[in-house]
Amino acid sequence: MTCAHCTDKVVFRIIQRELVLLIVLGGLTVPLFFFTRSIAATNRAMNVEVAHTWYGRAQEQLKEGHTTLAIDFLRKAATNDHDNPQYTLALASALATANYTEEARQSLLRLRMSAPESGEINLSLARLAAKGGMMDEAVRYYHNALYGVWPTDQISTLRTSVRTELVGFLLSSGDTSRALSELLILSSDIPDNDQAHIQVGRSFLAAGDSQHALEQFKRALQLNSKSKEAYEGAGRASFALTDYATARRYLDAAIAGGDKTQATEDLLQTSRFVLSRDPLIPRLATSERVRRLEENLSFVSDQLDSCIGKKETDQSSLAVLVPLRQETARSIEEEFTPPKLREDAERFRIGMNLVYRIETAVNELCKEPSDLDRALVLIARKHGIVDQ
Amino acid sequence: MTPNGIAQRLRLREDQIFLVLTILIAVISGLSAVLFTLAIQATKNSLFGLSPSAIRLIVTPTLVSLLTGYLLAKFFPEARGSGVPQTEAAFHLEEGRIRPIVPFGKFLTGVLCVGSGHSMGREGPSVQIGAGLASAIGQWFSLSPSRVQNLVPVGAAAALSAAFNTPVAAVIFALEEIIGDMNAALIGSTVLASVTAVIVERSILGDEVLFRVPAYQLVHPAELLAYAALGVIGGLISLVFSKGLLQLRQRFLSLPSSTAIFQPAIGGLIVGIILVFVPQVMSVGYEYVDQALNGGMLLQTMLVLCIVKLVATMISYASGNAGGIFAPSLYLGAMAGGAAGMLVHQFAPFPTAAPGAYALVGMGTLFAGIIRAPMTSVIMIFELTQDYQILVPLMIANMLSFVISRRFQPKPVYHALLEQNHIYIPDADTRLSKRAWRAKNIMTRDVSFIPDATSVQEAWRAFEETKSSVLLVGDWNQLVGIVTRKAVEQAMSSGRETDSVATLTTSDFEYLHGDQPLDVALERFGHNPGVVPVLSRTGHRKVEGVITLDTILKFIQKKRASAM
Repeated sequence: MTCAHCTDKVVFRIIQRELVLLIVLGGLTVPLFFFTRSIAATNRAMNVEVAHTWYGRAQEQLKEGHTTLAIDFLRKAATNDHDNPQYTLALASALATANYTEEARQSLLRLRMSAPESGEINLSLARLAAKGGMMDEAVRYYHNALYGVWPTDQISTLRTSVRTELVGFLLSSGDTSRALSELLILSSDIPDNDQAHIQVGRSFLAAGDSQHALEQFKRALQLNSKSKEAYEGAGRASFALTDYATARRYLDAAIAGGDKTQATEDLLQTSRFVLSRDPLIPRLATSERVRRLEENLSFVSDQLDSCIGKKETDQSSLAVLVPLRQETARSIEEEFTPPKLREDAERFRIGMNLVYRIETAVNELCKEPSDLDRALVLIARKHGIVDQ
Repeated sequence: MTPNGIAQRLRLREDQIFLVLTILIAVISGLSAVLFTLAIQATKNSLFGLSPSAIRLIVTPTLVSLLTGYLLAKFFPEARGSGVPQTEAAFHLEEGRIRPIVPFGKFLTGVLCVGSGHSMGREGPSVQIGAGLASAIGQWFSLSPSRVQNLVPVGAAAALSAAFNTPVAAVIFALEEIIGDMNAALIGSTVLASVTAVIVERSILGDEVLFRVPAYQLVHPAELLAYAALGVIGGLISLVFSKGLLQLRQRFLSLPSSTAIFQPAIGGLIVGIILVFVPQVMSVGYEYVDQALNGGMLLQTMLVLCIVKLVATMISYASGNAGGIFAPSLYLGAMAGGAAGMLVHQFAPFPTAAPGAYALVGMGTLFAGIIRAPMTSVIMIFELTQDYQILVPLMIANMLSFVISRRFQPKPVYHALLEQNHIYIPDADTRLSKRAWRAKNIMTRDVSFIPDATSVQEAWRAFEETKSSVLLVGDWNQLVGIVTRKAVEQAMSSGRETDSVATLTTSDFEYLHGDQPLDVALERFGHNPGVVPVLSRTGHRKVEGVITLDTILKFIQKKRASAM
């Protein structure tokens, strides 16, 4: 016979033991969990410190130009501290410098997943895309960077800098229309100081908008009347706008202010030539017009002879140059005599057209154009007589 | 209450306890895996610092391995190597019983070995630690043997899930590798354990990923051919690794047993020298896998790392250190795949994905070829990428690698490693033949042994007494061989009565294991006349019983009688 009371007791004891064991096990698990968490936290703090050390070493290597070693150190920094975007950004930048473009892009894309609005990350991606020649992607990331999140105290400066970079990229890629759109926005955003206006002015010049460029340089001169860069820029803008007199004034001021660059001096010289050798300027005495045209024809005629002398064995060049010489000789003798020029003012235009054609041919076949050569071509262009 | 009633109540109670234990074990195993990872990292940092000198690189693994060699030889012999094969053996052959000291020993020696720079992985040891803790808890609760056995894959899945951060792959690994049956009834508890463990791991370490996996893309259909080629390459590398590892380990095992304490230190010294020249193969090395995945390595670098890692891992493992081959197989795969991807990228006449995509597939390929868990490898890489596009190339490459590796190395490396220790895991057919009559039910323990020093005359007397046609030479713990009546009879007639019976003993005989079915036993009677010894799977020639035609007849009669 089985004792019901006894069997219940046995079952109860077994259950009681199991319950006690479960409670003990559960009781051990909780402190183990917190112990593991504290170890993980300590480990994390140690990793952050190690990452910081590696980052410091990487910066030193970057300064010394050892990009490969810096990449190695930055990898260690980023591995030890995944959460610090600064390390990944620095790594991506170093990777891009060392032409590990794909890895840099992947790192940045992953970083962007956690902070899609970050201006810094989008800017790095834009630079990477720009480096890879991916125009649309670069512009998209530049725009994301422009409207992204930046540190509040520097937001305006950083956005201006990003837009300036975007403009530079668009200009270097030949997309002047988009560059101009960005420049117009940029011109209203920049801080009101001479350097900012000069920079934007130069970009306008590069984009071919000389009028806006001149406005920027003029504003820069209002803010700093001694800025040789602003004078030089204004001179260039005026030159591009075919206002050679103003250009000469600004360029003179630039050189007087200390701008001794050859380019500025050449531009000034060209401006002077344009002003002194143009026979078509209004309100000029006829005798002076005649003198200028004769002087120009004599100059290009000498250029042509010299060029023929250099190309006497080159039949294809001679086929162009010799007819021009014949035409010049005949024209000087028959068409561009002072009496005939006084009779018909249109002959001045025809004469300058001949000067233009000779300049074009000689510059193409024989030599780099001099300041005077350039000036003569510009005079012809200014008066719209190049296609006659 | 009747005894049946008590049993029923306790059984129900055990079901409930099992469920609660599954969750608790998952938490504990998950925590142990996280602690193991952290401890390895901390050990590595403190042993090597930021920029270790060449001397430190050589001395550290050598000295630490000397210490672990002593610990492994004296206290935790089961903790050598990966831990996955030991877990399999415990599950299949010991009803899931693992000595409670083993997980602690594995933790300690694993941390020391992997942390001191040995080219080994942490996942295998984590599996053994998790499974060992689960088994110890099951035994502590005095659960039935089948319940203790069932807790082993639960602990293993939880630990792997926390160690590798891929919960689905951890479940598949437990089913495919530990249990060896994808249809196992344990799927529910392994899933529960794996999910619980990964929650624990993420609550501690956050959402940190092991690798920054690039977005996968199959750029051109012709790329599938390139992936097939990668599968072939992966299969061949797997083969070189498996065979090289087994041969080298056999060499270490064949050294005198007194050198066992020093063998890990020899491995440590060689690995230390390698580290001076190629420090990238140190320890787990997942940061370099990450680099390969993201296209941050040159072709030559990846090729060098693939070769050196292969050699370093073989040395670390074969010399008897504690650490796994799970991570090294992924490392080798990433390097081989990345290198193959670069070549394809340069020379293929069609557009191709970035080399990182090939590195990713390569990881799965080498895992399938070395570990021989093709389903786990597919799921694991899929889980890392979370991209369906990778499945087809991954399956093509994995299957080719698996087939090539299996064709030339039929025994999976984990099983072959166990067999070097005279532990024989039942094959899938044996494990799955549930309805078959098994040798352990048929055999008799009424066995007559004669010592090998016995003379032919005494052996003849034993034959006369037992009326047997075959006698076993040796004893229960060490079967030397078998001797036939015919051989003894011939020796007697030729006047060699005083010779030792050892001269007539054949050690090349057929035998069975206890879990093998009757049809295998009958087949083996063709080779052995009259008797087939039944040997233990866990001891070298340890006898469990014998099967004769008589025992088979008696078993059948008994079955019939009980069926009537």
